Amino acid sequence: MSAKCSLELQHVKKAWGGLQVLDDVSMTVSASAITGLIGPNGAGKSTLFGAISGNVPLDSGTIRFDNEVLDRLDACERARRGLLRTFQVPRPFANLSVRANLAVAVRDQPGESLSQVFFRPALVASREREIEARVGEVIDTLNLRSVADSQASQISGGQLKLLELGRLLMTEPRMILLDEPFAGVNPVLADELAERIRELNAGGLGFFIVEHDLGALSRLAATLFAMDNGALIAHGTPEEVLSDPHVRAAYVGAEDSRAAA
Amino acid sequence: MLGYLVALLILGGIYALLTISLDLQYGHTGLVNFGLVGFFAVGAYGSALVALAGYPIAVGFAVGICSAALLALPIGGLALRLRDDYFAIVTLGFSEVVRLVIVNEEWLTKGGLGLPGVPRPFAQLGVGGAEAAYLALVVACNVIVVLVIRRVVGSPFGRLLQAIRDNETTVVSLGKSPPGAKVRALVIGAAIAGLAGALYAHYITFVVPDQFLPIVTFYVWMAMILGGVGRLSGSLAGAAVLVLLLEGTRFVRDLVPSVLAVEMASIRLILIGLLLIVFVIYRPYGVFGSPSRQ
Repeated sequence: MSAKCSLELQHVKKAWGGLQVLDDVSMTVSASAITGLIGPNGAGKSTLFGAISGNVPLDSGTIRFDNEVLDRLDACERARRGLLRTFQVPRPFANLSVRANLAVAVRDQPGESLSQVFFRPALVASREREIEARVGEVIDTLNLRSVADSQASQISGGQLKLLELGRLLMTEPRMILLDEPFAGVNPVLADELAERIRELNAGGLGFFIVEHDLGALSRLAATLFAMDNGALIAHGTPEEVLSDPHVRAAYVGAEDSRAAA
Repeated sequence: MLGYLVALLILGGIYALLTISLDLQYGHTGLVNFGLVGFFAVGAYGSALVALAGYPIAVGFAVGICSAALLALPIGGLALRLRDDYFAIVTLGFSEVVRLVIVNEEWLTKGGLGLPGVPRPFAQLGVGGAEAAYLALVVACNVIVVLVIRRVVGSPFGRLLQAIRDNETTVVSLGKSPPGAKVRALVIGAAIAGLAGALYAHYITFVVPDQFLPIVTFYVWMAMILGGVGRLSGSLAGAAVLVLLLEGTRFVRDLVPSVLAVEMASIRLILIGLLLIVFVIYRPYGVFGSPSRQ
């Protein structure tokens, strides 16, 4: 991966009915750093993630990843480019074990072709051993050993967040979009998750993170973007962004309107 | 009595194949197929027509299985663009279209009169011997299908099917494309239903459109739910329970002789419904289902 690889948004617009949820957003996010995206509820952060991952079609604008225009690629194709995301609410394969949740994420497995299953069983088995070994590594990295054989429906919310991240690690990602990774995660597990993100980033993996826990995010991210009402209102180092008067006004305004309601 | 038992086992074996087919599609892949009987009908008529035209019965079976499987391709391609509930309605409509085509294309199917005299294999073994041999054939088909399906669902392909069932959006967001796997599950299931249809046609030796009403699909759903969704052993047990319910309620009339035959037919359905309710209350995960799966 070249150090120059980045995610670029140019004049991205999206309206739901009359509401402009993404209002001419342009930004460049490095695919080798940890970058944060903040903003009050309803600012358009998750919609922006949806637009990047291909889950939300754009009204206008262009998105590039590693200099390739993504506009005509669907969510599946974008994921295959190494641009992957988690969702605000974890979406595990609830009836599969933690191990199987990880294993199934590996792309282009010979065992997913029925002719290979029946006529090349040795090939399937040897690839399956490689996948199992990789699953073991990810389980160790994320400290999920104790629940490795549990069904995903039976592990805690924090462990589910780790599992979501782990599943993406199985896919040879280049950049990962995390939607509120720390929400509902107990502090100990949150610290652990932050530590894993730092280590993975040191290994060259880029992160773009939406998070309401501004403290946790500013300790983690080198750069922050702030949104309000669908528009970018600030970007820079965490200190710059958090002391920006527009950002403070957006949050205070949101607090005020909530207090008023 | 022994003859009746053999007949029940043959019928149970045919329902077991249908249940395994549905369980692959719904239990493992999450495809709500309300048109299973359509594939069953195509298998039955395909095989019967070919055999009646004078070809060997084995050729009939092959034609029945292949035409059911081929028919699943366009249905799959068309319907997989739809959400679960719409898919269910499309498949239900499909099975009715199959039945109505059979009713109306009299030049080929003799319409509502049906096709009598579908040849039965093993005739040279005498009545009892032929029945026993046919049971052996049904059992052999079940064994082969169970072995193949176990291999399929235990493979990485089966793991992918279950992931699609649990959360299709996530599968897409990982960079994997679900439609191919879903169509394959549909085609394999259709082939098994086609096999069940061929076995049925050559056992009953008479096919008529009224044998392929949507109620058959729902009997199979009942068997799958009774046995436990997502389990092969459950499919076999569910089919056994289903046949016991369908046939066992026949004998209730002997206990209350004052009831008319027409009334009894309705009472039988009420009894089946009641038993299903009781079963779902006290064994909600089926005979072999475990509480953690649904």
